[in-house]
Amino acid sequence: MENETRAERFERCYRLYRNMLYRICIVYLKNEADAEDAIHDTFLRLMERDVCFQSAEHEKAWLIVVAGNICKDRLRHWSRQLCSVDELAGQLAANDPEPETGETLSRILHLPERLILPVYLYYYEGYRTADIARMLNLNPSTLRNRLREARLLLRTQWKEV
Amino acid sequence: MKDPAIVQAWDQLKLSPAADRRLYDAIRRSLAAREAAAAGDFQMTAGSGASAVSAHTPVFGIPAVPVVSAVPAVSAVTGIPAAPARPAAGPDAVHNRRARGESARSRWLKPAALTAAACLLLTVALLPVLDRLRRPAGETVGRPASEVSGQPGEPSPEASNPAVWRPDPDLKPYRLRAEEREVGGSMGYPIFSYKDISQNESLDLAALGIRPVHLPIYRNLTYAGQKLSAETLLRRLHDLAARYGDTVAERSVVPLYENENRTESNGQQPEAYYGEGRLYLYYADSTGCKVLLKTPVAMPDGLRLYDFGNPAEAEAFETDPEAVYEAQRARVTAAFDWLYERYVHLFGFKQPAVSPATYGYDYSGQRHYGVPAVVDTGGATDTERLVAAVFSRGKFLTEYRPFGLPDSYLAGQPDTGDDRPGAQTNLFYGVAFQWFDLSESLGDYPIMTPAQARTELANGRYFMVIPDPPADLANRVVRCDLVYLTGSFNKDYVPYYRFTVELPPELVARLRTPDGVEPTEDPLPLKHYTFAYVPAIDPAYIAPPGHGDIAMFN
Repeated sequence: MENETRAERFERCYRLYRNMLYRICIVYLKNEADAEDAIHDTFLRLMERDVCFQSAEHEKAWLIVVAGNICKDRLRHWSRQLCSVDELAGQLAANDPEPETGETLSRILHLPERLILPVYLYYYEGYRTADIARMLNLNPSTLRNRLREARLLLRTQWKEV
Repeated sequence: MKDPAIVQAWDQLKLSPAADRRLYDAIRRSLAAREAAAAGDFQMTAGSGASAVSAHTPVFGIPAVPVVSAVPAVSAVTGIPAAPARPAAGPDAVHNRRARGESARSRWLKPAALTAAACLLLTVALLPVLDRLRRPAGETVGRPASEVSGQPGEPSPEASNPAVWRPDPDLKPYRLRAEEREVGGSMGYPIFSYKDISQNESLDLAALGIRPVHLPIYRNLTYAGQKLSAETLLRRLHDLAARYGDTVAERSVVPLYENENRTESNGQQPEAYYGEGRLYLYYADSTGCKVLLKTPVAMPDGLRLYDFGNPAEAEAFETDPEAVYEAQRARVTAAFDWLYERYVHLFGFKQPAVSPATYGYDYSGQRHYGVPAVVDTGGATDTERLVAAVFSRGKFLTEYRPFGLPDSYLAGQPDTGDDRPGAQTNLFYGVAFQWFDLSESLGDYPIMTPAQARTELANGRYFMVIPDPPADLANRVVRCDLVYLTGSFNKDYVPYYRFTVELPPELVARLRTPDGVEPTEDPLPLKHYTFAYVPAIDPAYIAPPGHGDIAMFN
């Protein structure tokens, strides 16, 4: 990555991380427009700051943390357009060609907010709990409890179905 | 670890193609605007690699990128045509929102603009006082009107007695090739917006009395991103480490992550080197170097060199953006001053000077800042001082508690209770500076005076990136700097007079708006500027006689 020009760095990062950031931002903001803005700001921050990344993993983790911070800032903002999980799930389901998958996603999005991102980072991105705990600034045992809680809730929902 | 059902579900959650195109386009536009403004900051400061305009000089080791249009025809990422014309006024998030028909900002924009204007008047009144307070003793303030007008100002000792220098009788005329007009590149046109050019406070070398009458041309030994040879690199690293009281034994020159078996995504190891003591020496690229402290220093609470998004101020920003940005600017300045006082020696500059962060406005009328830079203005002659100022500059590296660094890196950092990961303590962890190889000089050439260069400008012998420049360009000059073009694709480093010219608003509106879309009004009554370049070498020493094919550019 050291040989990259700015443009190349942006192209690579955008290609690699845009959907990951979209998932993180939409989990926080529950609004596609706000999520896009948050991704926009995240990439700008990446390009503006001369952060010395030790590795691609470091870069990715930095983006996750920064995107989360930007989303939290936006959540505090009074002008933010609020959107419910149901609305979001409805929007997403409308675009979803596979209803079954959409149903799973809807269930995940209906989990308590504090559980969604750990589920994403653990089950999808494949991070270790220790890494996720550092990224989300949580005690590792708290993080493990949250994952356990999420598993339990998802299992219960699936059984109900 | 991965659950197939959950993975499949998350896979469904991704940007739609339309959103993807929209977002990609918006980010590139924002980057173009900011990069251009940042380039303005730097180049205008000390006239370094005039890579300026559409091109950042590789100020911090980031090589210039090829010029690309503001709206790429085909997205390199998605492989699909770029987004169709949007209301192009704004690249920033607010414009994403606007493009979607939302108007979160429109409610407050006009009252904010009025308030901002009032604040600006107050600020402008106070700026000279503040500026005088924070500049080093002996540093002059402001620009002489004669310099702006293209006339030589108070002559320096060297300039007043050019007889002390004569060109080498065997000096061959320099053939100015098309490549030398490469001003690097970035995304979009290099337009800098201010309420007035006086908002650009960047370091003016002429105002410091640096007015050389001759300048060398150097061969770019790292043309097109070539790296230094291993021997040269190692020798320079040894020298650098020695200057820091550290050592780099040959056996310890290993990639930083070798022990962790990590590689970058392109499969290459970063070129980082352990000092044996307290440093990492980091060869960022062909023209940049970083020295990182193995033990970073926690800056005092409240001091942050990057402080552009304080959430506590988000609400205040809605009603009084100028006041918020002024507060941020004051904090950035305070942080820089703290660093400068303690660590400016780390650059090893003979006579360090501060190039304050300039501030301007992006397409959407939002303020933005750069970060102050440290520039070397030392040397026995004006020529040496200018070369130092162009090629020796750097910045402090700070970051909120960096994520991903080993725990040992963070040991002893206080927990402030800030719930945002990575935001606990602002760390000073090193310096970055330019590292040009100037070992091959093509000769010391006599240069024109600013007034002569302005005549050349008036006669159309210049180049610039903006298409269809106004005919009365010479009358639109607001500033003149002596710079070098130092882009990666300049085969030689050649000096230029860089004129900052004010652009007609209607031209800017046209450039910023895709074809077929009605240009939108500026959200704030801003003035827009760009650069025009005139080769600084005396025309008698450019082959073919005159200006080569320089005039063919326009």
